[in-house]
Amino acid sequence: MRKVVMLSALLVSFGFSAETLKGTPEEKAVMGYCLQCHSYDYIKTNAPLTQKGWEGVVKKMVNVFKAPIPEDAQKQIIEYLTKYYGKKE
Amino acid sequence: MDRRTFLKGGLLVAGGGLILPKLSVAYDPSEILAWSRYPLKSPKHPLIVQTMRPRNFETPVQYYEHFYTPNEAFYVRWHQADYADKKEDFKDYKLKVYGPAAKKPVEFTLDELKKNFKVYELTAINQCSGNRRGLSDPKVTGLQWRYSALGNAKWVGVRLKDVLDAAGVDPKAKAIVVHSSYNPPTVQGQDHFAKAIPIWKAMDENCLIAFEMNGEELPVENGYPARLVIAGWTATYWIKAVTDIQVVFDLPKNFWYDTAYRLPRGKFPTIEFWDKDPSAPFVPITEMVVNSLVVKFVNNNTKRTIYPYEVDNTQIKDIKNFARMGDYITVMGVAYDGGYGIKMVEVSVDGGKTWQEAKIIKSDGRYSWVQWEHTFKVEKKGVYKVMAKASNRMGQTQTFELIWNPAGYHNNVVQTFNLYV
Repeated sequence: MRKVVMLSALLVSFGFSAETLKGTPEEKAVMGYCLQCHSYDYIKTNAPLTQKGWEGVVKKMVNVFKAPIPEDAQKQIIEYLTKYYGKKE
Repeated sequence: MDRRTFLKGGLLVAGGGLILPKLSVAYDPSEILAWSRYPLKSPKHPLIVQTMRPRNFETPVQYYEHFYTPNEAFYVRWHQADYADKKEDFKDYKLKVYGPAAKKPVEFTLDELKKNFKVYELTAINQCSGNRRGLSDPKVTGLQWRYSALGNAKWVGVRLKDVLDAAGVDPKAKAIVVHSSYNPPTVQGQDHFAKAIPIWKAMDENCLIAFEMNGEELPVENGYPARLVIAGWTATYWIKAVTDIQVVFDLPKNFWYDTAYRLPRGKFPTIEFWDKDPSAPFVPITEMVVNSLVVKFVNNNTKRTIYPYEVDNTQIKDIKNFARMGDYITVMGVAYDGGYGIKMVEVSVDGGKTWQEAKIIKSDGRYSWVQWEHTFKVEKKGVYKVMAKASNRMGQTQTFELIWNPAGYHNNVVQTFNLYV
């Protein structure tokens, strides 16, 4: 984490502007659960996915990688991802 | 601030029992940096970010004009976010060999490894199983690597076989199971990232425990103090900062080899094969398939060089305003396979209608890549469709159409470059 912070500072000093997650702060608050294990880059690089696709991803995180995410939060995460990083079936 | 204190300070319990994260002021984790180039290992060598945490960085293709990929530009791939990341973190480093099929458990410090065993050097390709996954169509999930989650390096270390012999391997042993205690699971209940390697491969003389890469200590990002070199096989087996080698009769359950890193049976011409369940529909990935990669075009008349990729390696770039009638153009690239050795590389400048054998300009043993080049004269206006295709000594060659599989492995589709005259 220290490295990330230092790098962030470095990038800011070079004037790089970082892309941030789409949506309002309230909408994306629930996405903090993802940060327990990984940065948000995975969302950008794997998007767009269908609702079914994002469901599969969240299920894998919970069932395979044991991410502690309550069920209501899982639902919100899937809704958020489908809304902002989704695509039609 | 480490990750745990960051999370502790950053999470607050809101009404309704739902935990909401409060974003830290020092670092806004909602930054998305993927697919940009940043100085990540060294200020001199910007790499392409796939993900910042865990660290997954891709090498820009142009570095492959160096026969040995520079350590500071060598791609980086980690599964879990928490790991030691400074050389001081490894001062108590020990490699332990134990398990039900090891006669006598042994352990070695790095110095003991270097002193107690004969040291060997081997040049070998290290390629992520998922290299080129990001080119899969239909898309598959996972790290969206483009062309360059690989590198060629000169590895120096001791033979894995010699270290296993020091522990005494039971003749009925089936496999070794390897992990690094410096790379623990991120959350409770997750499997440790571990790989199972069959005994016959582990005892191969071309498998090393390497502590040097291109004449230097390994960078922390690439497995300092020591990593496995499982020559010919994809990098998933090359456990970094290796601390634990268990010699076993039966494989303990683990997601990383029971489920992950598997290929649909029978779709690829893999010779080296093994599984604990011989009837499973998906089998573990093992050796690399034969492949080639175009690195650059050089105009011998104008002396200009072009690396025909977008800055983030996302896609091949058309080559325009580069070649005129009468110019001599040299196309240069690399080719490699799972260790059978490259037999030849052919180049076509007419979209695959006719092929010419390219010149191999450098090689360093059958586990290394070869560098090749081919020069042709521009004799007509229009589009030259330039392709390269490698074949190995087993008679295997590249495909023209993707053999799609759910994890996006083994993409060795022949590349095509449009050169406009």
